[in-house]
Amino acid sequence: MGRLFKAFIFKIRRDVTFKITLIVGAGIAVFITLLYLILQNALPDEFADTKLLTGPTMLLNSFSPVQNFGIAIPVNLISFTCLEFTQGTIRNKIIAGNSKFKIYASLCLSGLIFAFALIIVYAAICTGLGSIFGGFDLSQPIALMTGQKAYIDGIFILKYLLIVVVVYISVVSFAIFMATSFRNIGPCIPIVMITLMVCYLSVTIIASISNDPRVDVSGVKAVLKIINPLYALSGGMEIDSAAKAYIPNGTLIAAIINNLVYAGLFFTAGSLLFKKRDVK
Amino acid sequence: MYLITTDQLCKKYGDKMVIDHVNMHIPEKAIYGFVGENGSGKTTIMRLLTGLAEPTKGSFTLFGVDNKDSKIYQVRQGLSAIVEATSLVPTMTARDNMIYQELYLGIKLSEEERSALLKKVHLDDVGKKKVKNFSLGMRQRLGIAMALMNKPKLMLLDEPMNGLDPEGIAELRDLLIELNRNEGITVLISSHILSELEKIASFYGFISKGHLIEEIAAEELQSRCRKSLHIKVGNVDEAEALLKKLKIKDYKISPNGDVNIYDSVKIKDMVSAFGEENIDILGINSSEESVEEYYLNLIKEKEAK
Repeated sequence: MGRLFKAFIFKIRRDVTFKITLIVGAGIAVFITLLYLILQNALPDEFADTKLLTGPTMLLNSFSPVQNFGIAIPVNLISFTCLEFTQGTIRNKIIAGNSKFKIYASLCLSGLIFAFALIIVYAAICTGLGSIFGGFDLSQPIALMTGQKAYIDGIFILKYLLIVVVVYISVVSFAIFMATSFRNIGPCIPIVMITLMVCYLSVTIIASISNDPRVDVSGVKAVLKIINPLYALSGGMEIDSAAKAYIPNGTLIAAIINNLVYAGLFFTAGSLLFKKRDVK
Repeated sequence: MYLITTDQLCKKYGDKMVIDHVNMHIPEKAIYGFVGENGSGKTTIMRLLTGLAEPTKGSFTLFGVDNKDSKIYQVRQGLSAIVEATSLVPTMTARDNMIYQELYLGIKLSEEERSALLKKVHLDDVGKKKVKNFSLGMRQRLGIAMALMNKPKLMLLDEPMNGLDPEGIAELRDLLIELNRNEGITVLISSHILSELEKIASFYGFISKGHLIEEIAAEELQSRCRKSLHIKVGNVDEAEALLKKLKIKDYKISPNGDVNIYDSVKIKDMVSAFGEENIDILGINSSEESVEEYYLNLIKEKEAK
């Protein structure tokens, strides 16, 4: 499997799409930073002590797979996987005596590396620019995109990054499963993006409704926490009475379990489907 | 020893049986010409042998290993194949495509070895040109160079002459003969250009509509291809009377004056005999049934049954 993985990584490194995506990612990072700078100047007076454009804010807002540059990751993965089929290079690997399981597993593994490489570069640029303009000071409250302000700490960031890792594992598994099933970019990208958008919007809509104390959506939130892989990333944080943001352990564990379960299901289904179906 | 055998191999797509109980035997160090019309099942058999498709029924062996044995992956490393089209990454150069293949083959060629392979197929001057800018013939040649990278014992080539110019076809033919004779590589090759297959094949497999009609050694095929003497005459009745007088048994005469003699006769004897009887000879030539004609006759016979 190691040689297949090395081959995929070689192809990714030589792939012009990967290089273009990195450049576009850097461009989006600069654009988003400028946008935050403009937004910061437009903040209302009650946010006078709060900076919107800081290293921590940019760090937290750069990882979503359905926002900003994050969208490019499943799209690129689908494109990369489908091209393996349309260019016929996947069949070369079968002819060369590699089992379909190993090919699929190495495709997923290199997909993960691909996804993390892109998002880490993007997040690093965003966080770097945010730190240059607003510093990286956790003792100051930050403005959250939910419209609230809160303090965060190192534990919060670590929990958040752990959620990011498991979310990307399931997103990559899903994208490669769909690409292997359809083997055609055309229908695959809209289906994957719509699915991710539905997951994301269902969380954000419920989160905004829950801001109204007259509405009780705790039941729906509990269900979403279990079934929605993007729940923790998009609406899993809570703010205590001391204005400190935290991610409850239950939310973190639910996120780890449901994302790994989804990743396992998509990996198993994808590898079985790939093994069963003929390759043209 | 056979490098490939198939046992009642079947492949069904939907309700259509595209490979129907095929029993194939490809001897070691043979150049096995695989002959069949479009859609006869040649490519499907190659796809089954290379693992791109799974048999619906039946089995096959590669290097003596059954297709259901887990060792099949290991033995497949000893073969290379170009099935349907050469699979290349268009945005990479020829050398990068080779390195990419080296990585998943688990081999490492030196720059000199890569250059030698490219030189073998006359692509040593492509430099950093991307494969997407290659002609079809150049892609085919690169595919062949890449098929040689793992020093295979068996090559499966599906219509490798497609897209090649006459010079390229001749070069490929010479290359395959050289690889077969000097390095003992067994080749399974399908081609529509039967005249080219005739020049290289030591065995033939004739397939039609998913059925393997016949497997035959090239020597046996040559002896079966009927030689004939064709004479164009002015008077068919007199010609027929003469052939009977000469006790020639196997012949055909058409009313327009075409006489085909299949018995072993010498041209000069026939010219003298016709001259003595004052029968005008308007034209004369000897001919031999080609592989193509043999194959077409086989199909006709099969359809007549």
